[in-house]
Amino acid sequence: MAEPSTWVPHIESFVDASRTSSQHDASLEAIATLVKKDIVSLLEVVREMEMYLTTTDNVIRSRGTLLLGEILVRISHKTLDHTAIDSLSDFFISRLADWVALRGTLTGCHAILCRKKEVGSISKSDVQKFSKVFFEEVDVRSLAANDRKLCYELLICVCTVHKEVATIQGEDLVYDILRSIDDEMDPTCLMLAFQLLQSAMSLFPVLSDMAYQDAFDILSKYFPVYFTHGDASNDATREELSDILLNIFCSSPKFEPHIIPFLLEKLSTSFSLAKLDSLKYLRKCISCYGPDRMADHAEDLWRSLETVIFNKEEDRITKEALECFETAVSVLITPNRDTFFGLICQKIDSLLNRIAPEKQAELHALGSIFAIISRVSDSLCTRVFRKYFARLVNSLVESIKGSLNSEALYLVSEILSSCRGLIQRSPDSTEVISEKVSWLNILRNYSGDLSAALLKLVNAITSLKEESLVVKQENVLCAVKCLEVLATFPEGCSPITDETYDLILKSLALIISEMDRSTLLWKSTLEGLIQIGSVAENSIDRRRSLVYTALVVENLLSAFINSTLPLDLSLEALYGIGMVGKHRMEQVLQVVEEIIVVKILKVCLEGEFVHADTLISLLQFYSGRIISWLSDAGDVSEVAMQFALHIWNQMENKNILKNIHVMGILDALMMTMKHLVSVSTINHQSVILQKSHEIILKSVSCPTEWFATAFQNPELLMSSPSSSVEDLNLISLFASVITAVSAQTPLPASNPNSSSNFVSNLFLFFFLRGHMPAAQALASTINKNPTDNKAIESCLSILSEDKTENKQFFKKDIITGFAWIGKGLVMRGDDRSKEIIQFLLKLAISSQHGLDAALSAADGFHIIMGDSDGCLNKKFHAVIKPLYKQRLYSTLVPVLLKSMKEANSKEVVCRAFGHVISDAPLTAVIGEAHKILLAVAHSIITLSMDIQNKDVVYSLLLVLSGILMDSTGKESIIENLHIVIGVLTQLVSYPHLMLVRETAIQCITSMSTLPHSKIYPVKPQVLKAVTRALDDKRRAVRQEAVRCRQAWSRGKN
Amino acid sequence: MTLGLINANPVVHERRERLSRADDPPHYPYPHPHPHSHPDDVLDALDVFDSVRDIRDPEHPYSLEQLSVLSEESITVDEKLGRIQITFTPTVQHCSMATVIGLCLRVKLMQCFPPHFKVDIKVSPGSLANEEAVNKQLNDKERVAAALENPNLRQLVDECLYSSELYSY
Repeated sequence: MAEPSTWVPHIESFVDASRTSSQHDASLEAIATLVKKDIVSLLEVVREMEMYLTTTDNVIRSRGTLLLGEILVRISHKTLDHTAIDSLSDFFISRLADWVALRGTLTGCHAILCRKKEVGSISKSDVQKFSKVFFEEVDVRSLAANDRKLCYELLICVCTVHKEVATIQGEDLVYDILRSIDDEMDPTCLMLAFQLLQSAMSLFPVLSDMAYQDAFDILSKYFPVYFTHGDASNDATREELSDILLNIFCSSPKFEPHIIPFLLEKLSTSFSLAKLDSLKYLRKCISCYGPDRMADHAEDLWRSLETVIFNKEEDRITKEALECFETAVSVLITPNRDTFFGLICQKIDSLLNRIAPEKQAELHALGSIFAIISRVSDSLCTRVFRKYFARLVNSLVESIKGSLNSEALYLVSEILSSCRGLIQRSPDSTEVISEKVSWLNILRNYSGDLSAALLKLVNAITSLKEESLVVKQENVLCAVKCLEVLATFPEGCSPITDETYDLILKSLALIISEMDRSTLLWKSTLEGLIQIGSVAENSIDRRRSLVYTALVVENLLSAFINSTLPLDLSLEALYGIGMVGKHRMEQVLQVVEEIIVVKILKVCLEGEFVHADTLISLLQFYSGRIISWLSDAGDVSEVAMQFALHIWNQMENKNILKNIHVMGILDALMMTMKHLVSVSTINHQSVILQKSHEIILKSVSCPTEWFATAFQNPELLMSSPSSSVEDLNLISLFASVITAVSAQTPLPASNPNSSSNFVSNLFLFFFLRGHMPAAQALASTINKNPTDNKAIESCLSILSEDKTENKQFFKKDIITGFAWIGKGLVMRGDDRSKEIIQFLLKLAISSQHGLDAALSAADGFHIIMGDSDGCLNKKFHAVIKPLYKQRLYSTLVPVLLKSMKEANSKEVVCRAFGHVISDAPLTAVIGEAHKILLAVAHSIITLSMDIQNKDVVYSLLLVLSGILMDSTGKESIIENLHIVIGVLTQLVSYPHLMLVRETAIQCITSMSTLPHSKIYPVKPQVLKAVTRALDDKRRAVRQEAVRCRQAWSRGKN
Repeated sequence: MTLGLINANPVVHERRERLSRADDPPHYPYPHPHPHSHPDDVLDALDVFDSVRDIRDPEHPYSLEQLSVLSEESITVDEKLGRIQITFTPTVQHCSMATVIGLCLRVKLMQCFPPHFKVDIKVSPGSLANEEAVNKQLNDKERVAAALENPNLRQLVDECLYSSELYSY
């Protein structure tokens, strides 16, 4: 045991109100630790504190009580014996009457009440005594917010931890609690108050009616929950409060007589939040209270909902009202209760008699009502069919002869899509089918007439002959939708005959091939056909699937082959149809492949260059969409390999090879080849590699021995005759294969005895001659084959040797090629990348080989840091070390920052810096915002002189705006405010790119929210610059400028 | 004492659909193939109308457009000469709010367009009893400046310009 003299000063320090709060905290923790570690016993502490706990000085007594309470909170896991607990609880309960020291008393009571049984808890009789004294002595409503919060927490503890004691007190407890929470306005306290009431009410299964009445009176004041001072700083959000209030109301059906009339009344106010919340509450209450209790309100409920649904309201209110209506329909309409349905029917009847085309809003509301009733249950759907469907169909059929009844058409379409949904939801629909008067049977009876009328309508728009019927597009749209629904019922319950099905497909296919493609009708018809196709595909009955193939798929394919449709649309249609199922897509794939080969022959052999564009779109469609869809759907390897081999077979023809590079075909073909290879399995990749390798060996004209020694002998490289076009084309295509193979696929060797260096030597040779695809392929091989050190060493040896006299190596293509190789190494996390990085840095900083070389080196960093679609990415199986960009970023930035001052050409270094910063992950950049911000500003200014750099300026500006959006970034911006504003105001009149001006102004606008004391000095400068932008050439910039000026001139001044 | 409204029951018109300009070029994040191929966006009457249509009436919670005080046709713009001319029609002949509306228009245009434009604001002929006096007052620089020095008037103008709580019907 410690000497009192060592710890009593802590007590004195805590009780002394003149000390700072951190001193108070420190002494409290010190004593609590001593007690926890049993160095001082609690009894001793209390004994020492006696004077502070009983003195008549209010301040000291309240500090003393608080100290004891806080100590108890901190030792809640320490075991205390019964005597201690009993005397402590006696003490605190007796102190509840002492309002001056109430904070400490409440803290102490809370700590004691919350104690677990294992560590010694308060006795039942004491809990009872506590709650009696508490409600007698403490007037919760008169306390400060923090104390009220404590009280609520205390009471929640009583109602949850000491349930049995709380229950003994009966209804009085609820009344006492209601009295305490009345008029609570603080959101955080209110949240606790609601929780308290919820847990208190859950203790009693049934309370007297009066109790619910009183609870409702107090709670209804809070509806709808809204904050008068915004909800930014509150712990409890509006939604949370609103939800818990709703839960209390739903907890007992006995609230029903009070809450429902109240909500209906609130629904008729003009306050949209009240409307929205009433609808939400109504929906939940209806389903909680059930049909018996809600029956009396049916009429009032319908009247209120009717007003909301049929009057034009905000979209979200209408949506909520319809959801509420759906719940009401499903709960209130039961076999023996019909009032609600009767009311709805009355409204429908009155509307059907006088609905007119100009009342669109009413018509849509009616459509939604029909849709909802028919989708709730089979029996309701049947009632709708019996009562209205025949009438609507008849008037539609009648009107086809004269002027179309478009309202009936719309309503029929709504009902049809609802009932299809009904049957799709319950696959076991035998009941519906067997029942004689079910809606399905009624639909079957009328489907003949209905579909005949709809088909007539649809055909009228495609045929020119029948001019008697003038139709509007929106009506046809509706008719197409109806036909789609009729054709997409699951098999076994299809309401239409097979003949009708065929007719529907024919008509819709006709729209696809004949109609104007830009219209909505065309697109939705295509969607309809896709839907029909997917249902036909999944059904066991093959007939419909076969008909679909014959009437739709083959029709479209032949339209595609004969190019009667514009290419982009027929591709879109084919893709849509293909998505129905795997074998459909393969059907499409086959046709597209054939056409691609035909077009290649046409362009390259017959010189019909007009087909080049088509060919390129086909290749893009093939590789970008069909192959990727199929590879998502399953195994595509075999198909891909076959087509890749097919392409390589074509390459054996010298004439094709000679012309394949015209008009960008080779690029598209290379991309396709990469995709084909990347989706193939390793075995299939090997087959493709083998084939292409054979062709390379056979067809490349320059001797293969050159490849092995090329890099050692630059003179030979220079003096040898330049490669033929065929060679280059072939190498490009081979490069695309190598780029996309996975790391595990073995590379071919020139003969079985030599090592596997053939491929890298070949590419090295062509790379040093400035052939870019070869460089990329080489980079890929280096990235994927870490064991193949020879290729890397060969590359690096070129850099290490003193070849400065040889201008050959400082051409743009070669430098860029080295950047690619560097990227391959960096991505793998190989240390040897350093040499290439240093080479590029030296070139960029010293500019000793001319400005062009320096610029190429600077752009090399864009290649290394950036992402590429063409090679070295995840899709083409590159080996990627996590966070390689961050690593490189943190090595490069210090070097670039240092050299920015000393470089010969500052512009080049800034450009390199710009690439590194804008390609690095934004979070990494923001983390170092304070270090780089000035350099970014400096770079923007340096680069904005030259139009060539506009992209880099834009990327840097985006980085700057990223920093501006981040909270830590903002601090650095504030520190360098004058410089940043200087840069941005200069960019406001940047002449080369509108996006830069627009973004700069947006940045300035968002800076208007920075602390006013900081931005005040730069305000004149900003307003002057932005006023100039009001006269900008481009409208978007002018509008931004107006917004910016407003933001800055409306700031606090 | 509370004054009665000058026009207690104005006719409210539908707001016209806001047309997005079809010729707005899409935003290219990266270099446009022909960076100089965009023709300049010339300032036109619709630009001016877009900036003033939502100004709130000093008396009612409706916009000037809804009350038909303004329309696109009542605005003429000559970019070469640097002139903007707006003619507005007060809702009633004896509307004393006409000057406030005019003042709002002037302040808004000053904020939205470069200072070299000369702005003429007039009430449409025959729509107001003291038409000439109002026209003269609205186009007098000194008097406009003096009016904006008046804190009450300034507050009224600001409320009309920045009130975003227009009722939407």
